Amino acid sequence: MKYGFIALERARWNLARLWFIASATIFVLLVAQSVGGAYEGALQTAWGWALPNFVPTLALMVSVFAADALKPYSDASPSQVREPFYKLSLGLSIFYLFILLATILSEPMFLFVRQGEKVTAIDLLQVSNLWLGPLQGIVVAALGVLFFLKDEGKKSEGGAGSPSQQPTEGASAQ
Amino acid sequence: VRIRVALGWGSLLLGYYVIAYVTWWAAVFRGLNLILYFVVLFGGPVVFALVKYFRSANEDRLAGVCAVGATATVAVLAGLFFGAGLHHGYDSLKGIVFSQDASSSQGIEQQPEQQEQVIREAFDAMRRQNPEFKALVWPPPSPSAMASIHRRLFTPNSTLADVAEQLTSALKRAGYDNLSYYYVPQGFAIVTGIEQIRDDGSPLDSDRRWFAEPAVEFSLAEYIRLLLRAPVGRYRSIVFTITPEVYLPSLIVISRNELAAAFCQGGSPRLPSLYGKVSFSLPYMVDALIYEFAGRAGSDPVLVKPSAISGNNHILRAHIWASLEPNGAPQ
Repeated sequence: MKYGFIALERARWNLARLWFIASATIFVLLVAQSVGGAYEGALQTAWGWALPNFVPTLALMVSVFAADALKPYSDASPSQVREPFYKLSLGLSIFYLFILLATILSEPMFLFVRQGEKVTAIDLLQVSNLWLGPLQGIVVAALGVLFFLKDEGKKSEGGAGSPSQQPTEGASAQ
Repeated sequence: VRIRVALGWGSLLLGYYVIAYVTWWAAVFRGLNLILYFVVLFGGPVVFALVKYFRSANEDRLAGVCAVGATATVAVLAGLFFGAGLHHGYDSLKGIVFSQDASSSQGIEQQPEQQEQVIREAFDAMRRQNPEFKALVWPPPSPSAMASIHRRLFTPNSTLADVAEQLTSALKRAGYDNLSYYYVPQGFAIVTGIEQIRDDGSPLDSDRRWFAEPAVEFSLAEYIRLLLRAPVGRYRSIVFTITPEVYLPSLIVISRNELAAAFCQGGSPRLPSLYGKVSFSLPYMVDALIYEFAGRAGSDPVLVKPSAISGNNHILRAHIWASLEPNGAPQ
């Protein structure tokens, strides 16, 4: 079975673009909720729930990009990553970030469905750890491979992937 | 000599009876302290006997002792007689004051102090007989708003029980099914359950009206509002007081949960029978104390003071005016 390849750095940037845009959206939403008083009395709990869900991943990406940014220029062919794995990582990331955002956006529905009961939006956030925790583990595992993959492009002319395979032209994240 | 002695004793007894009767009458009809009546009733013969005893010669002391015995017997008999008379008179008085027919109370209206005293005593007796009929915290805690319900909304010449019935029926028509009755000085109070209201004072729909936590109405605007702000519940309980007493609410400020604990639990589901005998006469006034609270989910809502809505508007938006009178206009 033949698979296409995509340049590792391009895959990383595509994923980073997705994560930064989604995280910024979540961040701005949380700021607006904090200012508006959505979590009055439980502000720290809300931020304590939200930040571990995306900040470690962003920190990982930034650190890898920072390390790459200081590397000297090289003519060596870039590392390649198999396109299915890249798409799997991308899909997992999209799904995870969608669930994360949907958890916050579904707070009004949660309050509507559970009205009359002594529940707050914080209760939903805490319950969401049940599904976000495992999902985050899978996503981080996939991203970890892509971001901590040793760049072997300088060692072999063919890059990290199979030398016989060429990167597909159409393989892009977005 | 015997005739003269007999006349003397007769005059003495007659005078005593007259004084005792006047004292009794003054006690019942003129507000004289009952203790004074009993002092006259028993003190007169005792003083007479003692004077008789000490003024007698030594050999006549026996006669003096007999006189003490005789006067004591007379005093006891008189006490029984006047006691029965007092009881009878009290009942007669009750028959006038408590009559459902206002025309029969015309005579007593000339003596409002006696009427008030008798009513007070009757209520005291009723409270002793009905300890389960609890009293409202008095004076009531500081409300968010107040409104006076005009007397003309109630049937003329009615009793307090009739007023309670009218008010209860109106409240039930307005959707207040959970009502509690409490004693207030010489009257009663009706406390409604804690309902949830909108910003304009109108109650929420019946399925969400009695939620203890903030209710949510789903719409796009509400969705955005809820996304950015925790829902805030507005709650209201109305306390109707029917009392002749002029009062000022206390300065105590209570929360919703405190009000629920103090007012909405332990109230009687109905009034004792005495209220069917007390006429809803002029000193009685009907006031509505509105307690409005606001708070987020999971917190104890605090009193809104003063309420942004006037007391009359609270009653109007709660559909109580409309239930009390056909045109529903506030007074």
